[in-house]
Amino acid sequence: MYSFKMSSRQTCPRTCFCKHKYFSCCCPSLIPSRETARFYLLFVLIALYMLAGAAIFSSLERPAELQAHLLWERRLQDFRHEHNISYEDLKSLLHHYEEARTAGIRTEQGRALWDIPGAFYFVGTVVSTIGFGVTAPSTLTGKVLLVFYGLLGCSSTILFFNLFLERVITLLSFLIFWCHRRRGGHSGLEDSDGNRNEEWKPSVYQVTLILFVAVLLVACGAASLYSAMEGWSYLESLYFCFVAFSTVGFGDFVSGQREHHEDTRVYQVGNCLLMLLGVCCTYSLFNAISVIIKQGLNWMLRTLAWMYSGICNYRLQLRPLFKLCFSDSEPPKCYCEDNNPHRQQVQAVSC
Amino acid sequence: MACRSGCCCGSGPINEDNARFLLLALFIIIYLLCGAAVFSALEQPKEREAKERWAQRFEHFSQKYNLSKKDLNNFLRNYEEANVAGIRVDTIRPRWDFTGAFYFVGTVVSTIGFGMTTPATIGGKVFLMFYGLLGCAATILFFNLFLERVITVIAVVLKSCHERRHNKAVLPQNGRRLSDGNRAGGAGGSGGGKGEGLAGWKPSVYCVMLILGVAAILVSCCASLMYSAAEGWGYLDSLYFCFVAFSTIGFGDMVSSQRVVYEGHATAAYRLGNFFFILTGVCCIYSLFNVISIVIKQVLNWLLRRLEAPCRCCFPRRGHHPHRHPRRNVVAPGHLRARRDPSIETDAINESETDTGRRMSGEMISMRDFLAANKVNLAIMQKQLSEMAIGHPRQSSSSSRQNGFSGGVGALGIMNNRLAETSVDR
Repeated sequence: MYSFKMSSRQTCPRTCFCKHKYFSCCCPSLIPSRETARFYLLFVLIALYMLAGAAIFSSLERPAELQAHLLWERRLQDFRHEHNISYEDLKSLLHHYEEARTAGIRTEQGRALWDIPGAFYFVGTVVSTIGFGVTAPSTLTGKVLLVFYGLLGCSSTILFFNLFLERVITLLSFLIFWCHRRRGGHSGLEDSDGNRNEEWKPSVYQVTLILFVAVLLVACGAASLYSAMEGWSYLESLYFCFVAFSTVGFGDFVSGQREHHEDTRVYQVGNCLLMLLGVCCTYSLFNAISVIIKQGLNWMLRTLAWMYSGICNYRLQLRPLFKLCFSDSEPPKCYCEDNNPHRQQVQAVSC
Repeated sequence: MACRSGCCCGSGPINEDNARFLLLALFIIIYLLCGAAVFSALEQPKEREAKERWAQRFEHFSQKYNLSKKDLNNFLRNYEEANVAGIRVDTIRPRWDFTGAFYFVGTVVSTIGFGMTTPATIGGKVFLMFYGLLGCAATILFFNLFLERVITVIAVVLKSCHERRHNKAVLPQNGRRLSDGNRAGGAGGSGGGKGEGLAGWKPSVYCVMLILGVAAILVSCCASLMYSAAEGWGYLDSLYFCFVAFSTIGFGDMVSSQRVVYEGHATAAYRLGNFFFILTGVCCIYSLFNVISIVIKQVLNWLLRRLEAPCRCCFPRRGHHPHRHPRRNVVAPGHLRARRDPSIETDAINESETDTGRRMSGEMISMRDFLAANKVNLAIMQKQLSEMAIGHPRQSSSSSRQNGFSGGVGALGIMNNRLAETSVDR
């Protein structure tokens, strides 16, 4: 990482240490630093991922949407004709109903939204950034307060999740180290300090696997609870668990909204605790996976760089007097280990 | 390290990291309770009002057309069902055409999750779970990398401003040596720091927070202008929407870019602008949250120190902690004596993530030190690894007098040097 050995050793036999660049080749000014390259590469990959996802979701869901439109139109017309209601009146009723929905009113009697437990659930969804939307401030003061409240609350919760992540990794390191100790016994552990220490840090793959299993357990457990209490199917409950724990929080399914739930304090408390645990574990899982993705990006950059250097070499071999790269841009600042006698030559050959 | 001797304060057996975690949990619970009380007081009247109003309208309508309540309720239930499929009274843009699906996918991977579009089929739901797993992780990585980049850029800019101011003051003899020291990467960084502490200078957390805050406000204000113009919302409502969207809360009570066409044939431009603003806004606010979280962490540390101060029994043991001392003597490039105000760099001496961590954060913050620091850092890393073998696995911030950015920011910073893959090669 710090020094880059060219694959073509015949041109630059010594390792060259090029400043700010991953390696210095034909046109140094065009090669971004490694971090920037990784950032842009990730952006491109995510964009591609989103495009692919959009295409797939569109094909999965579009038919259902069109059907739902047809169904609704039919029902609307039927209702209108059956009761002889003018279209305008019906529209205005539905508008009012939409307005009522944002204030949390549903056809089925639901629990109160802004009593203390309800407000607690609301602020919980705010600071964890889940944001179901079942409850949302409608007064102006509430909205303004939300901005300032959320600023401090979300930062604290992010810190909480980060500290949780840290605690989890520390705990897992302990466990894995302890397992290795017990298993590894006398094998390699006492050779040198170096060996023991390297084993000592858990691999990100181990941590990810453990976290994944933990998330699965929590999700499955929570899903059985929700499907029992909320009347959803098991799959819908799993879907809800994923949506809530990843803090996406669509709001199409929200737990704890039925009226009788007001009587079940235990369920409400359990609901909150489960969500907390689930979000913490899922956040840690996402971050562990992000380390793996970062590894992948590094690998990709290495491959790209290797390919690029191959191309560079090829060009150089074709045109040994190719001055284009060096004519208007300054020669790459290459610090080779034994500097002086070969410096000129090294620069020209683009270590 | 657990303080085994009985300590006067009850927090004896808890090590500092756990104590901080618990203290934060307590703070958040209190914050939630207070918030719940305040919001409840603000919103409950309006809720009651809205309920009454709706009940009236419902009554009025059912009487006017002589409908039974049951029938009307059925109709409304049908409408609710239609809502879930994304239908509204006014015509809105299709949900699941390509651009609609793209908007949906965007709300998923960024975890905003407005909810205006949600998968209705089973296949969609199942696919979402797998898709979201990878997508959210990648986007979290993106935001974390953005955070690192932003802090690096801010640090470089602030440092060059500082340098310019400093160089003016120090002009004659050291001038040349300083500028040489700063430019030549191979000089080991400490060359520039000769007695001036320039190479070790890192910006303060508060500075970065201020800059990010201003950036976030700018983005929000510009975005709000656009939204209030295009969507017809009030300016304050647009600001509220901006905050809710950019913080990835995403209630969904207000969602941008839902109409089929916007006036002035600006539909495509508006949709692009929407995407761009949400992306920038989320990045800025995410970074702001993480920087604020650093400040909160420092406050927690300060609180912990205040709480533990009476417990003198705990501290002396810590002070002689075996793997503290050797590190005090370690001179890392660019390292400086601890500054009193919380800065990004120092006190890294006491942290185990210190040099690799600071090399990481050094890489984030000072691109020039990176190359210089190599050789020294390798040696330090060796030393550190061997020390960890002796000591117990607790890595952290135990001392963390002034934590600042040392060890990195955000979740990536937390995982720095704690996993096999994050220790040497990033």
